[in-house]
Formats: sequence, structure tokens, C-alpha cells
Amino acid sequence: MEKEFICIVCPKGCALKVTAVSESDVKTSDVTGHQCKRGASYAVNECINPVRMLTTTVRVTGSRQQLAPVKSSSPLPKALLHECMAAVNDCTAKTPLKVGDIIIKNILGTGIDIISTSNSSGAGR
Amino acid sequence: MREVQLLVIGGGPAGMAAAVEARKQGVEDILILEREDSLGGILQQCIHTGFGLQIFKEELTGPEYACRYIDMVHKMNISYITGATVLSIKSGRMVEAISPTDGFMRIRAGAVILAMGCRERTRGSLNIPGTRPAGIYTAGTAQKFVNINGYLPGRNVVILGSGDIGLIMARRLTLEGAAVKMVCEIMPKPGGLTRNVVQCLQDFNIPLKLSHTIVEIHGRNRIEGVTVAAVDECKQPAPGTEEFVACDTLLLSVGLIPENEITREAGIDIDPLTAGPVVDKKMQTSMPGVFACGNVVHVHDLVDNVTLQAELAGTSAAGFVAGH
Repeated sequence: MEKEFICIVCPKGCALKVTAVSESDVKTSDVTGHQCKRGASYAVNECINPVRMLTTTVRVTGSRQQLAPVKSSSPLPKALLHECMAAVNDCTAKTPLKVGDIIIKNILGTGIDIISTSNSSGAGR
Repeated sequence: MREVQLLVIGGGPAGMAAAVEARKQGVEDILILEREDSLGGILQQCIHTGFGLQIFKEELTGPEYACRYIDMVHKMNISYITGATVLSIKSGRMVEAISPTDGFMRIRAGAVILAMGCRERTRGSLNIPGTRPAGIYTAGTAQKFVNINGYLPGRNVVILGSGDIGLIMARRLTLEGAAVKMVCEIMPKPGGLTRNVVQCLQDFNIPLKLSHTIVEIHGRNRIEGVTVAAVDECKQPAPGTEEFVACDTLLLSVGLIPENEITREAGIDIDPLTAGPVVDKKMQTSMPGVFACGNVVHVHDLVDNVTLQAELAGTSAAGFVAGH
């Protein structure tokens, strides 16, 4: 099996190549073209279970703002992104919120939380 | 009239980092003037990750990066006024500003740091022929609608220009349920970072049309579609390649221009290439004691680089205030 990726871990965007015997058995040593360790594990992940950070907004009450920015506490399986978006859009959070506050615990049973990425004061409407 | 040792114009990443650094270097009396309701600048609407890899050695979202500096500003007791617009910089570093809480202000500053950031290029600077309907936005305006105000600007979207904001918005609108028809780029290669082409377009199967541009905008009240055409090596549309693409929204991600109206009016020298003030190696402009940093000098790819430049400007301004 041979696969090519462009690394998205940092702005460098290394061109990665994976050469492995089978798709189910990919190791970091099968990766070439990376300039750091994270690039190698990115390529392995892309073969086995591609994951992405999800950043979006959640509706809030008790604040002058309508929305608060949120993110997944770690990258989510790529195939679940749209389902996770629907779950976040169904949710309303109460302010005040601090960076890191959990908005949705264990979203879709992934073990990953949706957390606040800003300090939203409870002041205002 | 008020007197301060250091006045910082703009409370985004550049202004905050410059103020924090100047305080570290011993400047006690610092005032930041910010036009929006809160500090943080454009970072507040950049809810995606990718910020801070260099400065904080971790990948943060825009609001998180802003929070780190807002916390430092608060902890160091640096004063700031939000909702404040600077009207002019007069000789002798006399700055005139206005705000709903403080009214008209005249501030004499020992040193000034310009950190006003940049603005997006609009349809007006592109001269796209066609009608003038509603539904045409710059990508950053659409980003503010979606991420701050909670409005979706449209359902069927074409994006012109493959700058990073355009690519990020292609993903954001897709995740919020809009259909992004295509991203057109007049150049033969994408304008934004490769990682954004991968994670914002390829992940969602959004076509990227390189060497293509929009030659006509259709629609009377609301935009109904655009005519897309391939361009030759001279960026001229090639006849016979036109294609009509129906859409209700057009986003423009066609570049940023440093925002230097007050700089220009103050008579400070502007570099015609960058549209930012000419600065020396200490980030000092042609007006002594007036420094500049961040996107107001030239447009940066990464906020981390803005912060580093702002720290240099903060250090230099502190040196000027101290008299060396």
C-alpha cells in the first residue's frame, strides 16, 4: 500500500508518503517526508482513523453575546464531524463561561468533550 | 488634556503584546485605545485552531490566544478604553480620540505604538462587472456574522480568492449547513496555507478552481449566480471558458490592506509596496517616538510573528520613553 498526504499539523505542510505492507498495519517507521514526529503520527492516523479538531460556536444565554466559541478537547473522528456539529447546535450553554469549561461531556460517546475557548461574562441581557 | 507615557492604538494581538512588553521593560503609564467593545481584535472571530505554536508551544484557537494576552493586560494593570476611535495624530504625539464613555479626548503621549491591524479588500478594488445585488461579503465579514452574531449569510456559496480566511470560511459554512459550490483562485496556486487547502477544502470535497476568476455577477435584489471563467498566463479571462454557477452568496477573500488612514494623515511615510508605514529596525516610523507593529506594518501569515514584532516595538518604545 502506498499513500500520500500533506501534513496539516503545522503551517509547514510537509509532503508525507506512507509505504506499508497492509492498510491495517501502518507504523510511524513506514512514513517518509516528515520533518517532525508529529508528522509521522499524523500520517499513521490518516491511514487508520483520520481525526480533526472541531471548532464551532454554541448558543449562550445570560450574556450580551449570542454565541460562545468552543472546540473539541482533542481531535474527533473525521466521519463524526457533522453529527457532532448537530449535537453542539442543539445545545445552549449558560454564561458565565471560562476557557476550558465543559459544554458537552463525552460527545457522541467518543470520550472527547466540547469545551469553551473564551471567557464569556454573564453580564448584560 | 491627558498625558500618558505610552499610548497604544489598537487592542488586538499586536497592541496587547506591545503594551505587555513595554510594561515588562518598566513603562508604568500605558493606555490602549480599542475600537471594538472588547480587547482581542480579529482573533475573537477566528475560532479555528492554529495559533500560538511558536509563542506558547501549543495549538490554540484565536479567542484562547487573545485570552492569554487579555489576562496579562489585566494582571499588569495596563489601562485600556474600549469603543474608542482615534481621530488623528498631531505633531508632538498629541492624539485625538473619541469614545462613548470618555467623550472627546486629547492625549499627549511620550511614545505612540500604531497597532491598528488591517482591513479586507472589497469588490470595489476588484472591478468585477455585473449587477450590484445583496449577498456579496468579504470573507471576514461573513466570519463575524457566523462566529460572533450567529447568522448564516447564505445557503449556496461561491468563494473568490483562496486566502486563508476564504478557506477557513469554506469549512465553517459547510459545517453550519451551507453548500460551498467552489473556491475560485485567479493564480495557478492557492493563496492560503497548504494545510488549509487540505483540511478546509479536500476534507469536504469542495472544488478549488485554480487559474479561474469571476467575470460577471448576476441578480437584481439578491445575487443569483456568477459567471466563472478560466484565465490565461496574463490573468485575462479566456473566451469560451465561461460557466454560470448559481449561488445566493459570494464571499471575497482577495487580500488584506494595512489600515493606515490616521498614519497617512499624520504625515508619516508610507511604503507603497506594503501600504504600511516605513519603519526602521526598531519599528520606529518616520515620526520620532511613533512606532508600529503587526498587520498595520505589513500583513502577517501567523499571529505568532505579529506578537514577536510587537514585542520589539514595545521594547523600542520603552527605550524611547526612558530617553535612550
